[in-house]
Amino acid sequence: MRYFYVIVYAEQTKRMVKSMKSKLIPIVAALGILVITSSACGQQAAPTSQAPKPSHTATVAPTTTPPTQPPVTTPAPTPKPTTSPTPTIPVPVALTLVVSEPAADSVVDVSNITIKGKTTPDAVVSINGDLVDVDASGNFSLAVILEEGPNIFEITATDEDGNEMNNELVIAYAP
Amino acid sequence: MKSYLVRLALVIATLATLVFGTGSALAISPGDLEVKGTISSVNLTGSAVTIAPKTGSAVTVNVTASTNITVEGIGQATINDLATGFRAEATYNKDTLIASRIEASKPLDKHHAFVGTIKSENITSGNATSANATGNFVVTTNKGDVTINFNAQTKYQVPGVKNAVIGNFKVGDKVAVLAVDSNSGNLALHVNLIPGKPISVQRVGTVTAYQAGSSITLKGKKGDTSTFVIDANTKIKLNRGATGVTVGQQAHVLAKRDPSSDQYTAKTIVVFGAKGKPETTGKPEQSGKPDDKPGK
Repeated sequence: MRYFYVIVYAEQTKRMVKSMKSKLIPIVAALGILVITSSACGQQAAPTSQAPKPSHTATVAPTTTPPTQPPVTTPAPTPKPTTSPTPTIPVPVALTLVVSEPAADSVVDVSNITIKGKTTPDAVVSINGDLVDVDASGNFSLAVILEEGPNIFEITATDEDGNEMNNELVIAYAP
Repeated sequence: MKSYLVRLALVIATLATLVFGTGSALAISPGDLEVKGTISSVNLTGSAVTIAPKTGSAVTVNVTASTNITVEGIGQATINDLATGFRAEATYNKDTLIASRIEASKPLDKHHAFVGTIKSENITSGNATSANATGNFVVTTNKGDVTINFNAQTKYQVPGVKNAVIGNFKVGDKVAVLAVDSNSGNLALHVNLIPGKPISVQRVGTVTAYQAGSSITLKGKKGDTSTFVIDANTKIKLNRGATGVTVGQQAHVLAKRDPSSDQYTAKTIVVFGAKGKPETTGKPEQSGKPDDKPGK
């Protein structure tokens, strides 16, 4: 008799659990939809760089809309190092010629002056036909003696690419 | 011997001090001194001019009827033509301080250099072939047209012409002018003709022909060719490991023009070795003499 009550009680408990289980599943599923939707809306409103944390709720309701992924920046492809050396192509340097002093068309009261300037390294420079030394940086200078009145200096630079540049400098000496 | 030389030097130095005095004044004849500097005052009533040298004390010299005064651009002048700020040089007696000579010129900032082409000429008096012509010419410079007066004091220079005059210049000529401010504008002190054909040239190009001691021909970047005479004075500069002048290489030629023949003679030939080669050591320059045969 005691066993009978136990079995009956067990059977009733079993049915109650089964009944409750069938009612709880839709509720839990509905809650899952709500949670996932609110999470997705939040991501769209304020995208962050962090990836959304995996929610176990999603596993509960796999049919829900998947979360919007944050924009992913694709890194620029890194060039692969080449094993064979690339030949160096020399970049042609444009020929320049600048006379820094004295100023053009200037008048001086001393007969000894120095003409200074800068050109492209390895350029050949002459002043009135006389070769002038050019240093590794392209600087050149030449001491000259002026005659009374205007003195005309033709400064020419040429480079290995066949370019020529001229600068006419007039310095007047008024003793 | 050494002490003798030291004593001799001291004697010479003492004598020099006694004779020449101090400051910038220099003796030009016994009893005379010279001073060069800037006029710091002109005393017209007292007929005296004070000249302050760059170093040393100022000297006040007396002007008399025998004083020869010249002013740049004016020529013969009087004390009335002198002014404070003028640059001056005077010779004077060290006892009486009477100046025998005063040469003056306006301050440096009153001088101007012009380069340009003669646009027009106008002679107002005298003859174009005479040295005392006066007038003006307009020069077109890179800053615009400038009218420059000339007078009998203007000096002219034309290559190959002795005692050049304004008549040696014509419209279209390129000139360099040193002028000074005057009451009537710019007054030319010196007018130099810039020859149409350059006296010296520098060319670069590929060597298409080369005969040591004779000639070199270059072909420029634009295809133009230039031939230069090589003589015994031609220098060949070998840079960056170059071993000589060879056909096909790039060369720079600096040459002078002979006005009589219009021929250009190479003064210097510069060649470079391949890039990365070291600078030539030992003998960087060669003579262009025929027996040197550079590059062979």
